[in-house]
Amino acid sequence: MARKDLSDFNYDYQAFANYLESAECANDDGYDTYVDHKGNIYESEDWTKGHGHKNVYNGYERSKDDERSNGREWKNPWLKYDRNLNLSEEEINLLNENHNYTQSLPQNEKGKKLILSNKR
Amino acid sequence: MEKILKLLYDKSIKNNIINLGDIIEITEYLINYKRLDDYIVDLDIKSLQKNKLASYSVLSKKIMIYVDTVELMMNDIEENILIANDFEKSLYKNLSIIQVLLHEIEHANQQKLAYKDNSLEALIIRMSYNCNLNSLYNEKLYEYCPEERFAEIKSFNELTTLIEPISSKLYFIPEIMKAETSQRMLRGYHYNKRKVISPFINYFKLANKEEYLNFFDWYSNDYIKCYDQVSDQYILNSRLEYGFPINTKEYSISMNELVLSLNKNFNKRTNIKL
Repeated sequence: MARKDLSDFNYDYQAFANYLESAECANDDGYDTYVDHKGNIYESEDWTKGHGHKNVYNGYERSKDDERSNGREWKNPWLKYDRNLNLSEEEINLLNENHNYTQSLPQNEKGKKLILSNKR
Repeated sequence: MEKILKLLYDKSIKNNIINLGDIIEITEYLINYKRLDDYIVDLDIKSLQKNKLASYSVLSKKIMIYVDTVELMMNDIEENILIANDFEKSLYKNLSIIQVLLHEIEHANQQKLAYKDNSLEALIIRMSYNCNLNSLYNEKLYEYCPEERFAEIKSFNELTTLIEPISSKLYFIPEIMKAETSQRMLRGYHYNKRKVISPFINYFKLANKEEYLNFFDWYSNDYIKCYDQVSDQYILNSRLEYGFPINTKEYSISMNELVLSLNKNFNKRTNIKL
């Protein structure tokens, strides 16, 4: 399902704002996996039902269907404070093209779509 | 401002972080210094409110600081900054707290500017106020929002001026402040489909106020014509400050400098969105 736009909310900006920061929007965008800069990997097929939590550094892993994963706000990436610079793949490619700059990209063994927090 | 620098220096040399009393003292000083007593009447400290560090309410004329998120910022700095000496690390933490405060104070200053000033900045702020205020909380609009961009850029510029008297004795912070300012100037610019999106244009388009863009004689729906006209009138630095259009080469050079500087001074400060 494609992301909704303002007209879907009858031009109510606050409703649209809430939607953009919601798990529903992530679902509509088709995000499979969320990776933060510390290496935590979050996977879900339905973001509205909570999600699994796997840390590639310490081996901690919680199944995505574990009931403890449901509705846990502390795992909601849309509410996370973040002062990082976030670049898209196209932006990284541009830098690579123009400056021979190499940046390692996070890998996902399942080849799923990876996203990182887009808050600045 | 020397008073604030002295306080930060004295705290940082002992590896201390400024406390609530210091924040209140600094706020009072800044309110007087910027003549904002009609715009800020109270300062309050609260626990966590989602991901916000602080906020300013136009209605209550109150600045709120959310200590849990500030704590998170301190931990983030401690974990990720690559500064070798303790003094500069502490100074950077203290400067980061002051930046949060300066940002909110700038929002109060914008209230004053918007209705008492006829600068380009004031015009843009007034135009932005005319967009639905609730829309500012929209994550996408927030990134492009002129008031937010101005408050971020001005607060980091003020910090750069603040540390100027001691900058020759600092090894890391002047470059970090330059990168922080640059990151805020590039905020909202995105390279997409071989074009660089201007946060200023995108903001008013997303807020459904595209007609406001016609107030600017450089504006055109034609991407290349728009860039040519705006670059004839404004140098790159001014365009970055206002969020006006830049071209791919300017974006690429500025972003490359920023990424290299962030990667030199911080651990994992750059994320990639695939």
